[in-house]
Amino acid sequence: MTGATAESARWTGPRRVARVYGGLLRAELQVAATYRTQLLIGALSWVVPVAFMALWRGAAAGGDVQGISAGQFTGYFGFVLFTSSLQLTRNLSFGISPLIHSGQLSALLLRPHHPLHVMVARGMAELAYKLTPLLVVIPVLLALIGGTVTDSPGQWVLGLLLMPLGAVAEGYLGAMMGSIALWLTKSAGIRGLLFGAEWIAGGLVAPIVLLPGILPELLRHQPLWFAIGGPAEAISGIRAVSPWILLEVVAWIVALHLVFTEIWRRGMRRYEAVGT
Amino acid sequence: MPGPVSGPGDTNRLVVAATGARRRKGAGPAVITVSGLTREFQVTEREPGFRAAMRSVVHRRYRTVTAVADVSFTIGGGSIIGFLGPNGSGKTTTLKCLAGLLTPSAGTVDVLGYTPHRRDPEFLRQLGFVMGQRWQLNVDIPVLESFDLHRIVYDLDRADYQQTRDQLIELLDLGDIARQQARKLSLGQRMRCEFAAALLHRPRVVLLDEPTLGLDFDAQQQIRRFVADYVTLTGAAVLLTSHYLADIEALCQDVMTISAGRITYSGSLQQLKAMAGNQKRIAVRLATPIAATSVSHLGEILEHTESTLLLEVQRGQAGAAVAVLEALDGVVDVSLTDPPLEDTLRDLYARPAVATTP
Repeated sequence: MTGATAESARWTGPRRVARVYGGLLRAELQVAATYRTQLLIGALSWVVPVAFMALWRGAAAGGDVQGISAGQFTGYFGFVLFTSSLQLTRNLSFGISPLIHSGQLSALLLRPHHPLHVMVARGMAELAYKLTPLLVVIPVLLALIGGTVTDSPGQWVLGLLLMPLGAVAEGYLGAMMGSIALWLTKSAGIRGLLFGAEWIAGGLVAPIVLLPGILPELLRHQPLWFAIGGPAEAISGIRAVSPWILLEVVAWIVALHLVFTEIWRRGMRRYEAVGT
Repeated sequence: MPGPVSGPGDTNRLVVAATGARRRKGAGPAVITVSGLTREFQVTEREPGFRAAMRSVVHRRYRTVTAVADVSFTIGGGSIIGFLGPNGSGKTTTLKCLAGLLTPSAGTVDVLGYTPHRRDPEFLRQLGFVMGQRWQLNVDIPVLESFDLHRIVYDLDRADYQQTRDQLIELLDLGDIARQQARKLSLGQRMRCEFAAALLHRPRVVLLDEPTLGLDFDAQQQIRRFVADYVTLTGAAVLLTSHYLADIEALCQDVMTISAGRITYSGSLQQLKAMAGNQKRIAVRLATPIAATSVSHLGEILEHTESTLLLEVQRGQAGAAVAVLEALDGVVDVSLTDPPLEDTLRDLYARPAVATTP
């Protein structure tokens, strides 16, 4: 062993973060590849959007439902199948919380990067395996059963840009929910609330335009919809989204980042590093 | 190393300005400075039984437990300090505060000029922490892959990394296991890999919490040799807790003891052994049995069988006692030893905190 001890970091700022992510992703892709059965089980999450697709197609068989055709429902849930699979919320929320509870977070806290990066990389590695088959399955599904999509290139661009931005915003919500374990030893109930909200406010059960009263207008300005229903509504042509939405989602990301940073800072003061 | 130093207004403070590890003369400047460290935890309490459990749903009772109270010490570079104490005495809590895993309730901790609980990445790059059975390796990929991830995360130069990795593999005899998934390794193999991972980035401060726990004799020896070599080569400061006193005796010249969250001793291991008081032990091997009454006047009989006798005598009287024993018929061999370190430690753990200043 050489006599020299640790030197200063050679990479700093975003380049360092990118480098760390490269390394973490490489490792996590290998981990995900090790557990092939787990990848197959992950495909079971397709059941929910496909079931609601069948349900709403049936409802629209006799005619449009509040102006939405069966083809649009097919297009919408086809893209919801993709956007709901794109989320890292479960990895973050269910990933952080047991680590805090068991004290395993300690090992990650010793590394010179935020522990959240490991959870994000793990989620991204799983996405690589989950999304690849969907890139084939969704177009085939839409073609076979007659899904319609918008012919507006602007809405396609907006929808495609909204997908990753919305996923980042919802990821922060998941990270916050996971961090609640720093205050509550068992926080599964609170995490469950987020997933319940995702079903309604995210548009997993139905496009939010079908909700009563002012709910559709309200719910169009929050991360769950940006992440799941928003891109699907834009691309399926159910309702056009404004370019301003991108600014809105970026503002949400900045605000959520600041809130999460503060939650984490305060939570770390309470961390008890049990079990070591 | 100076022992406890008395001073007005301060309690439980002492200086562990180490004079150097066994294999390295002289300590560098202070790399760890702890002053008045206190860490409290809130725990919930209730009476046993179903009714008490139901009552606790609406009326929760909390109690504050002080794990570490007003602890102060300084550790220099190039030293291996043994940190001893019974279970629940505050050893691991102190180490966790030094690593930044816990935020102190009061007092200050300075490691390499950083405040650990702020977890500055530059600080973390200079810290290695082996925590018994809390794994840092990714258990699902081969050990070598974890090492490579370590290179990226710690931003190590590839050539330096490869050199250090190969040396660690050789020193810790990891050649045959480094390509296996970590979860398939035995405890000893995995512990050696953890050691390598914790030191790949050549940390300047190394915290070892029960590093040889559950390991067989060979693995313990290997780890001890490795830690000593590491300090000699890098000049790092090492704080070591272990329930195996053999670890401490093999590696540390200086030790601290902690009991009920308070430091009860700080000084050299030699001094600690000398604190066995004025006692010496005389082990006698017998060819024929002797009567207890013929030796009971020499000291306290700790053990007596047909073929052995163990006596504890006053230090100043040991020579005379040996002479008497050697003159007895049936005595084959007489040997003089210090009482085991465990006994001394048991006494130290029961002591009140030392009143000292840094």
